[in-house]
Amino acid sequence: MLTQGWAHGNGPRVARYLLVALSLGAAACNGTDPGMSGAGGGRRQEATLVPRSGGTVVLGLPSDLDSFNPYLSTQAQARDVTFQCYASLMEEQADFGQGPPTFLPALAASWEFSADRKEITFHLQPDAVWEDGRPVTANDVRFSHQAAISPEVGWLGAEVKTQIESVEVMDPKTVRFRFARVYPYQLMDANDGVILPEHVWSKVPFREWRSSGLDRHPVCSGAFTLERWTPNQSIEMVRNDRSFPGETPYLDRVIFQILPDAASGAEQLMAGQIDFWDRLSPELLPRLESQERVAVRRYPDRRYSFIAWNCARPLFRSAAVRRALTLAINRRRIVDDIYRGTAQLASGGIPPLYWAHDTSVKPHPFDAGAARDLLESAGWRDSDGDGLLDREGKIFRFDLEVPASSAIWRDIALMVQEDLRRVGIQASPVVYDRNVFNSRHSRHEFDAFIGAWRLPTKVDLAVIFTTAAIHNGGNYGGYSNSQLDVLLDKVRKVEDIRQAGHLLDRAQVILHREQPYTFLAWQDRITGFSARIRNIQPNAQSPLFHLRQWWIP
Amino acid sequence: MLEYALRRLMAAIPLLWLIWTLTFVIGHLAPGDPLALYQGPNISRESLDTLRHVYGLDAPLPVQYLKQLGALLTGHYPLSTSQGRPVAEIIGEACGPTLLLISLALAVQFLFGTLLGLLTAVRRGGGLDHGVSAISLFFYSIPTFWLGVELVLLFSYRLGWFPPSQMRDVTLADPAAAGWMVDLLRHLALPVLTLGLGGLALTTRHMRSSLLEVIGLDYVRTARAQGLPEWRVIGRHALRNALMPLVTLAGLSLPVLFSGTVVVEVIFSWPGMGQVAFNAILARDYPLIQAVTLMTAALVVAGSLLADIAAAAVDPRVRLGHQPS
Repeated sequence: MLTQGWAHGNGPRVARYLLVALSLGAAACNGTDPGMSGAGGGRRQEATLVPRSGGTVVLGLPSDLDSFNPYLSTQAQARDVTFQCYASLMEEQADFGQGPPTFLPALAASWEFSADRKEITFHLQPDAVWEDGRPVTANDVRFSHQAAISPEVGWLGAEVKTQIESVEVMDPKTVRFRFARVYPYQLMDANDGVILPEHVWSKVPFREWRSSGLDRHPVCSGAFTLERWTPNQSIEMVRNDRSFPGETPYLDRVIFQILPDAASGAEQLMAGQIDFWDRLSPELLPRLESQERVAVRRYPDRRYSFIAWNCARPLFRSAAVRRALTLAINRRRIVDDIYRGTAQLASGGIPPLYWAHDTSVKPHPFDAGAARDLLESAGWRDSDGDGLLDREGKIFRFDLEVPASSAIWRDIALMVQEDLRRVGIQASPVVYDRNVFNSRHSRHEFDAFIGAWRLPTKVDLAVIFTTAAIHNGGNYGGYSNSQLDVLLDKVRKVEDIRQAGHLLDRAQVILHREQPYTFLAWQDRITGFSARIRNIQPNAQSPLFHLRQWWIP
Repeated sequence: MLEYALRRLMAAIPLLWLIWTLTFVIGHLAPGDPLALYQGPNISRESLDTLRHVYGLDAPLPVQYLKQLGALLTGHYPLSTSQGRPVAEIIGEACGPTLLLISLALAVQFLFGTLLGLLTAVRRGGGLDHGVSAISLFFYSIPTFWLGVELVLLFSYRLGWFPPSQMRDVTLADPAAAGWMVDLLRHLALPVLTLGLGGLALTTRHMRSSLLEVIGLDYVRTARAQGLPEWRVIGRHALRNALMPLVTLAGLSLPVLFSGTVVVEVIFSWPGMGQVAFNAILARDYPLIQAVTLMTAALVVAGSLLADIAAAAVDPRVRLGHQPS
């Protein structure tokens, strides 16, 4: 048997204490961290203090949750909140820069693969209980899987469970997942979602979950429990003293205050009315860094921005033309002036914080002359001297769509318009309401749009760039390359994703050459928090990573 | 009066149905898709289709219309597509905060508006009259969103007197503990002022002109000729008649106030129907948009009815439900 994780007994406890020690050590070594600034930067010596229990923190949240049941929620942000109360089998670590993410025990104390790697057996923590005192059992795990795949529940992430053939209860504390085939992300897919208490949720049929109101009064097994949820105002959690060993947090209470206005969130952080606000705008950095009571952390995010070209339309069908468009746009200026240095010039769809990023692929330069040459070789010339390129009587003009909700993207669109005009291309920025903006893309009804993806920790270019993803996935631009399709299909079939490194490198080279997107920037995330809080570890995994280890001196 | 009220309420049913139907039609004519905000590379078409089925969005529009109408009549309210729970639950939670906000804004508007109108009419042409008129014009002219933002900047961030948003201090361990009323009033101060100041200016000007009109009438002159003190002439005789137009104004103010709550609740993160409506529109949450519109329309109808009843109470010449012969 191939074993991963920890042995029974004191393993998890020891592991968590080691993790705390390592985290504190890391905090102590943070003196060289360029992303750390503000008052928090001056407390390195205090990191050696012994953490103490108690205290309340107030975290700003941009919108209320739709549901506290992760299988009913459709919001990305809900995960960061609900996962503080609901535990998963394992805890995914933020180490996907070194290789595929690893896992630490959570509700599962240990796990092992079968010899043919088609089965994973999880051994649950012997003393894990729900907040009502009932034990967490293998039945809860099986029930949660049934909920995840139920069409009556309608979980948006159900796709990740399609390769799981069955979930079998071996004994009250042992559960076995059987997969249809061997593939790189079995562990990740088995772990995706949370474990719900069967004795609570089975009282209501799946189809009535949404109207039952049960998610307003969850029974949890994680670090915190939900104490009060006041719609559109606040979500209040308290420490779960019954959480399994190593999970017990230092803080007594965590309050999420709903603040729909981003500017108001930043102001309230600086005024000391809240302790934490995420996704701060780059232009706020100088003000934030001058605040004594606020610490700021800037770190690479899993997010990149791009211009998607509709490759199915004649204007953008040629890879040479798309490459010319990229060369014609001064993306360095976008990074410097719009993102104010809080981003890197992007070369492709796998940001450098991922283990699979190919460092040999460099961003295309800004070279208007080379762009003109490429366009001319594709037949685009200014034949009538009006300053605009034309071919067969048609002028090179298109609409560049941006969502009304993003001022940054509107500014980028204006810069792109100006750059392209200099090479004789007329790009007209068109602003759409976010809902309409998204609807148009899934129907492939656009010329080009400025957008961004926030990637999962799973490296999977196929959902964005393969032919299959045109109709079922995120390939809205209709880009199709059979060579890339074959490569990415092979990636999905290797047993160990690390074996697919060279395949992913080749895929990145193809995308760099073909430019289905003009990759703009790999963005940093900026998180601000009260300098009184210790051991905050926001990272690309989650801004609230290891919230249970936050403490107040 | 009861018969009149019942007749008015019965007459409101087709009106509400028409509003509900128009909202359905207009909502679906607008571009967009309730599930568009969920799409992304890692969300499969199958998952979206499943969710579409859960919400009944895969049925033809006439079927959706009839199902929702049936649900409305039988009390089985549909699910909000953006919040995934029954719309009645969402409206029930949001109704209270909005009614509180509107009631207090109305109170500010009419209590202070009447008082200021009275003073400016009595001191007509004086410094007070000119000053109040100028300030009234200022508040009546400026947009609500600008006023709200400026009040927050001044009273919350600069002076620190009032909280900038929300309905209560979330750090209070027990929201029902002593001091909650003070906390609530502090949170109410800025949104109520933002919502009420425009109306206050309007009421002041209405009250002033109405009172000036009444003061010139014969019966007031008679009262003065009888030697009654001025405060009694104004307070007892003139004011009652001058209030009549204000009661009508109160009924007309309700739709304006409900519209105003959308902006005010968004600025102040006030957890009411305005904020629910705003988010529902952005998310193309058709069932929720219809529910909010219906609820708002019902409240406006009820408010107008109350205004008519109040008018009858103030002026005995008004006979509810009787046509003039």
